[in-house]
Amino acid sequence: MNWYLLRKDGTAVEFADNRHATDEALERYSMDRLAGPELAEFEEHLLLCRVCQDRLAVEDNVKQRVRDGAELLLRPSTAVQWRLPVLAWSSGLVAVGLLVFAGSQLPSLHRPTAQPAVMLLQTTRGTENLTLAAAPAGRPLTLVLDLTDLQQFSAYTLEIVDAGGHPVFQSSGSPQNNRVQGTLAHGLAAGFYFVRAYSPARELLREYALTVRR
Amino acid sequence: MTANGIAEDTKDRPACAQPGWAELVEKIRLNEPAGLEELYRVFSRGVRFYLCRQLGPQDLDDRVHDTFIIVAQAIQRGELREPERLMGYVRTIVRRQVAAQIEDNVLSRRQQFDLDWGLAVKDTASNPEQAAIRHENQQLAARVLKSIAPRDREILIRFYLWEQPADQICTEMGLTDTQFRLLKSRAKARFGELGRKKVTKRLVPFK
Repeated sequence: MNWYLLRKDGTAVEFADNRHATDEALERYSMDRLAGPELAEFEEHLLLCRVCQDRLAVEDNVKQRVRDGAELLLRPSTAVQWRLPVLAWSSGLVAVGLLVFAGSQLPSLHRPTAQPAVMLLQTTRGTENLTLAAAPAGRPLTLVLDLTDLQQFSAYTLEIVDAGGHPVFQSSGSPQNNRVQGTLAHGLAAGFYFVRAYSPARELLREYALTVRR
Repeated sequence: MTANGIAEDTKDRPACAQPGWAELVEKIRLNEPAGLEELYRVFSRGVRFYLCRQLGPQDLDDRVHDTFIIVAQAIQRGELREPERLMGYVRTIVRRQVAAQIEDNVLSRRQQFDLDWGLAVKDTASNPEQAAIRHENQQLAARVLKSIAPRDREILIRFYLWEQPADQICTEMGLTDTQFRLLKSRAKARFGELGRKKVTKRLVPFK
């Protein structure tokens, strides 16, 4: 029989009779924030532990549902009153998993400003939620690549190729907070693109699909 | 609690009790069916879960099978020098499988683009049925999110969507670390509970 310690709110926190991942570790893993020895220890435990597999599946589900629901609620066209700071985000996923969000403030979405749309490119897991994310065409665009799980370098090259594999943009940058970014002052024309991250030795490290729509 | 987020308590639990790795490795090395069976029994669910989470359900059985063949053959070739590191070794093999699959996807996509007979870009958009299901799920999630307390909703959105660190959320919402943990946990429980209720309601339309 399995015995769980339950908090007042009924959430299983940790277990009295064995080593299990904490809630915090599960959340961090689910959000790709574990690295190094911490990640190794967690994954080794996960390979054996059914309880933590089930807990992680629940955590992944909650995360995805919150993102799905919040995306809809926070759409500028949705007339929902929020106590939150007025930030509007557009989000979606591309092919293997691209999470996109617009980082500009809500009022700026309605103003014809030249402020770039900010898109965070992340890998996600599984086939769940493979909705195409779309960047706005013809508008300045800042692409932020999440470098989680990638080999660390002092600089990365960011390249965008069109659907035919022809390069349309390239820049290099140093990572900050495990992210590297590039800004396209004139944005991209509508179409299908791939965003690639390279090491200084021109080794392809990661590739994301990107759709740009009018 | 260890620094690595695994709760510290050493008593065995059936759910993740670790077998004697040295004995198991020796059985596999000698190609004893019992050893292979035990390896599969101990790791199959975890490997399946990991691969499915990373790569999705497509070809899952084949991938799990390939993983076990690689692990067993490596052990039989004597490549696992420290039997007590079996768990770490399996993890390494599984991660390599995932990396290889992603690399394959990138390569095959690139090769498709190299074809000269017209541009064939796979339409990765959902089909109408998938899109409708996704839309419905999204609306359900939005309704659930809207129905929970504003402070709970704010915590969930800040944490999961905007991925704000706990420090920032605490500062901006005027919470202590403990309050934040409790509120977040309560919000998740509430969100899950209401979601289940709404799904159940939808499944039982007649009374």
